[in-house]
Amino acid sequence: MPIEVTMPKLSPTMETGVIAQWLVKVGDPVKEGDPLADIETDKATMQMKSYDDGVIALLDHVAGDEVALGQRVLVLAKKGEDPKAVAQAMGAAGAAKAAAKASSAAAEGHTSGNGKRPDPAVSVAAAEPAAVAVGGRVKSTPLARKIAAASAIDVARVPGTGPGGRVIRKDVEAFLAAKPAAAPAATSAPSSRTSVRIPHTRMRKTIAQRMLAAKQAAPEIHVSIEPRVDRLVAAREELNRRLARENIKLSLGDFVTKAVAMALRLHPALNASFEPDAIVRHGNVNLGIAVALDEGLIVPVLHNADQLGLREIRLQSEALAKAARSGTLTGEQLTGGTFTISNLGMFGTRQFDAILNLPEVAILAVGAAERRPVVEGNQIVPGTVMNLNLTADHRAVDGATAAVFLQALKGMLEEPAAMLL
Amino acid sequence: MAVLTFREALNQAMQEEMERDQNVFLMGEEVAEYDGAYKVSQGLLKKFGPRRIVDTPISEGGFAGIGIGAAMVGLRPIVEFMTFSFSLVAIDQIVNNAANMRYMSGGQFAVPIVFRGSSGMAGCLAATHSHRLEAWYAQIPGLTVVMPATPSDAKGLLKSAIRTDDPVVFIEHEVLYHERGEVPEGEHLVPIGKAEIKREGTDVTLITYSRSLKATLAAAEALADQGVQAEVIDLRTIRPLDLDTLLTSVVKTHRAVIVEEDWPYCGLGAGISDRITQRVFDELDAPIRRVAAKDAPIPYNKALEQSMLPSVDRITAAVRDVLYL
Amino acid sequence: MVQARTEAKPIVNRTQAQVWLRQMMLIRRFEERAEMMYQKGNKIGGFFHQYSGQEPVAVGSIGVLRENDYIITAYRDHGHALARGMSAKAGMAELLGKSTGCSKGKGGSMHFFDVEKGFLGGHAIVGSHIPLAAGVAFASKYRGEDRVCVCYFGDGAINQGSVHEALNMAAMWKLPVVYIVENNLYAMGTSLARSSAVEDLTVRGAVPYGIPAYSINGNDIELMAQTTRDAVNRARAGEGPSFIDAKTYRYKGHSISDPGKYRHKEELDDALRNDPILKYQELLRERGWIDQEAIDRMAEGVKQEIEESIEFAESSEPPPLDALYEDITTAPFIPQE
Repeated sequence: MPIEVTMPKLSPTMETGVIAQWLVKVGDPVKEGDPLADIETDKATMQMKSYDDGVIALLDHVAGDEVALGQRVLVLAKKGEDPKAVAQAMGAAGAAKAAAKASSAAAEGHTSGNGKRPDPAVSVAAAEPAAVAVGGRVKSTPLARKIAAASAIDVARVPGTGPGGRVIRKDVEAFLAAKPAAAPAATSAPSSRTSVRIPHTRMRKTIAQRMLAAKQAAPEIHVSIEPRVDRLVAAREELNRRLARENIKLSLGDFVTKAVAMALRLHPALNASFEPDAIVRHGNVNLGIAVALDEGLIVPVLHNADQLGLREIRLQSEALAKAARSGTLTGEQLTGGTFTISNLGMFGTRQFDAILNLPEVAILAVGAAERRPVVEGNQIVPGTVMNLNLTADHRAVDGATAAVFLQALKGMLEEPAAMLL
Repeated sequence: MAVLTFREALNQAMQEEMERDQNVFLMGEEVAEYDGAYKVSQGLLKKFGPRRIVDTPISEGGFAGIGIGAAMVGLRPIVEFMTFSFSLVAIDQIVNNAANMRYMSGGQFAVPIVFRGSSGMAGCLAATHSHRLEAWYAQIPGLTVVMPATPSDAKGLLKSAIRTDDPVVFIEHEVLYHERGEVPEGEHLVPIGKAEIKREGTDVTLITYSRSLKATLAAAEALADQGVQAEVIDLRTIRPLDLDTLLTSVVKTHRAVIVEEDWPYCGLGAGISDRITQRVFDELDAPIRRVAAKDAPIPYNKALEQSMLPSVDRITAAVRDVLYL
Repeated sequence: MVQARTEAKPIVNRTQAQVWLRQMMLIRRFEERAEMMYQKGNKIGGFFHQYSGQEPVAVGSIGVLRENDYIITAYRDHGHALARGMSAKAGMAELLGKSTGCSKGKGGSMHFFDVEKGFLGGHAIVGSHIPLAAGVAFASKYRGEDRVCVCYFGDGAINQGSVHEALNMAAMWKLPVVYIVENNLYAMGTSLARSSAVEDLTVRGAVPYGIPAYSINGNDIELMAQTTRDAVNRARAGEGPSFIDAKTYRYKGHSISDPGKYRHKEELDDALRNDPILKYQELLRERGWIDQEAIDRMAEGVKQEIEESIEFAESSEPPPLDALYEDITTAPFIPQE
């Protein structure tokens, strides 16, 4: 029997995947472990690999298609099976769409050697030889580029709906229609500031859906505390002097990460998930670190953060952020989080609220460390203070529990040596 | 206005021009006693006599050359090839002598001659008798190449061609000879080098000529049912190309599909596509598509031959493609 | 070997004979100096075919034509053009590719034209102009005129199909055309014996079409003139074409790059001994129509004329670059670029 390969689950939250690029074409032999396609999930672009040996008999979709989990994406002919016969026998339903897309090419005489019209499955590959230029240049028509240039927008920002993701006139016009009138990109086109309509990317759809779900599902409470971090700043300077040779520079955020990990070990009620019938307190401390991207937000996971030294935290955080920006995070790097930290301190934000990353029960919003007048005894003296604002799911975490956790966290940040305990 | 067949329109054009100008004469195989292999010259011998309606032996190279020689010293010959497929044995005369003469002589000699005759896939004529040579002749500086698609244009363009002081390759299509249409009487001149918009539209420009106009117009109607307004341009003159009309339309529609009975590789559409792309690349929202004959010799079998031709289905598919539908 | 003698009574008067002699000398000198310009000055490019040795054929035949008759020939065309009265200046300037050339620098050696003189060209595709000649004659007959077209071609052309198509129609329609084969025995490097199943060209070119044929010594200028006159008179009388197999000899290779190794030295030496110009000078001296002193003066004059033509050609302007698009069509030319 031929093997029907379906859309795999490549992210814990994905419900559909977009075939970003086929890495095989009909007729290609594949071995177990060979990459079949790049799949754009809600989180990242992942490689879909083959679990079997065989020959590609049929591709059900073309690049750009969105396919639901579990839906068939290709058929593999096993050893001894004729791929063409397999394609014919199993092609009807799935191939219909691909065939439609390929029909004009076939009509134009892309005939195969026997002089007949190519069967639809074969012509998928023929009709879309370039697939999608992932990570390459943006495909666009001359007219689309001309309109984009006249409106001072980067055609690369426009989602393309043409063959292989080609940006066509309609796309640019839709983008322009959705764009806010005062969008900064329009400044160089003083005569008319048109609005742009930006169709949702998959990431945006995911963010919207998950944020709304969190707000709807979880009664949240906000608890904040403001540790004085003068010693922490001093300790950071000292450590950075030592690490300078290794070209490593610790951030205050790294200390917060370390402190949060240590505090969570002491307060496992915050290192937990809320499930319908139980609260699961996790054995490992896996910290999700929110990374802002141009197009949205992604939360790669620093596994076993409580067991990492500051140096490791820095190196791993850096690696994760880089992978997040290049869209190369692996499934493992995106899954398994038990608590999330969101840090906007680098933008000078003093204080903000974060929304829960369900099913985790808490998320910490970290503001900027800033010099402020502080009361020391009876005197007002200059000091460095940062705001930590914890959002907790009150279904699982009570106010006092949250406060105690923050108190412990404050202690560690004010007296860094405590983290060593 | 009188309704005439394509062949009657051509006949009328020749008759009127021969009456107007004593220097005009018709020469070719079976044009006189036989009354024309395709009856285009029917009745002309009776009217003008053997001095001006001249039957030739089967010597296409020879009588093409005789026509050119006569034109060099002031006559205005119409040389009929029974089919343009046979012009292949006269191509040295057409290219080396007719087209080059003016240039080689530094402008001293003009060759006011019309080479005309049927062409194309006309049904079961097989590989030797079904040639479409418009791209061959259109490549030659010095030649004017005309291909009418309607009886009215056939008359108006042939009259203009006969009055042109340069050699004109006037290619008719055999399957059009019986087509009927309104034809203005008398002095009806269609200018050389001017295309005509046969149907206005906004969404895509369909560029075609000769016999393919029919399928293209039918495709445009089918597309209209799908909400696509296609503009159909009949080139009428192949060389010089009426680029202005094409560009104006493409700038409006941003898409072009070229429909031709020519072969695809190095065919006429390739040259047209190149010229459009060079000028208005930035106006294109899709690559220019061509619907041409299939790349094979012309078969005898009718169904096989039919499968090579641009069809309504192939044209609409190409249009949907450039519209991203 | 072809002998440049004439046994016939003079068919020309003294003045006419002197003109013919001078024309032959002018053609010879033109070719000598053009060869020098080609080889020494690198002023001339491309293919270059010399007429030296064949002068009596062009001069004798053209010498009996009327001013409004037509002449058309193949690529070895300098001699016919000069015999027809084209100026050496226009010819030399054409060889140098100048805008003052007889074809404005666009034709070159193989494509001399002069509409004023009824000179319808040098034509470089072998055999391709034979139908044109019939067409020109067709026009003459069509209009009821008595103008004749004289058409020259080489012995190699007899093997081209278009020649036979044209000869057939010319004969059938009794067109006023005279076909003159300049039979110099070689089609480029291939001798007649190696290219023609029948060596008598009248059997191939005239007999099948019922065309009257003459096989003569073309290097006998007065015989050439006499034969052409007969043929032309026939044509004017509406009796149709004639075919003259004029035996002659070219001194030089086929073109400038041809050393002529396919023929024996003795053959060439023999021809040079019987040089038609020297023989005609001798004949005219015998008749008392010219003396050596006059011949020397004539030679000086010819030299002078050719030197002036070189001067003229060299000082002429080349065509401007935008002349590229000129003279392609009578209608305004639109480059399809």
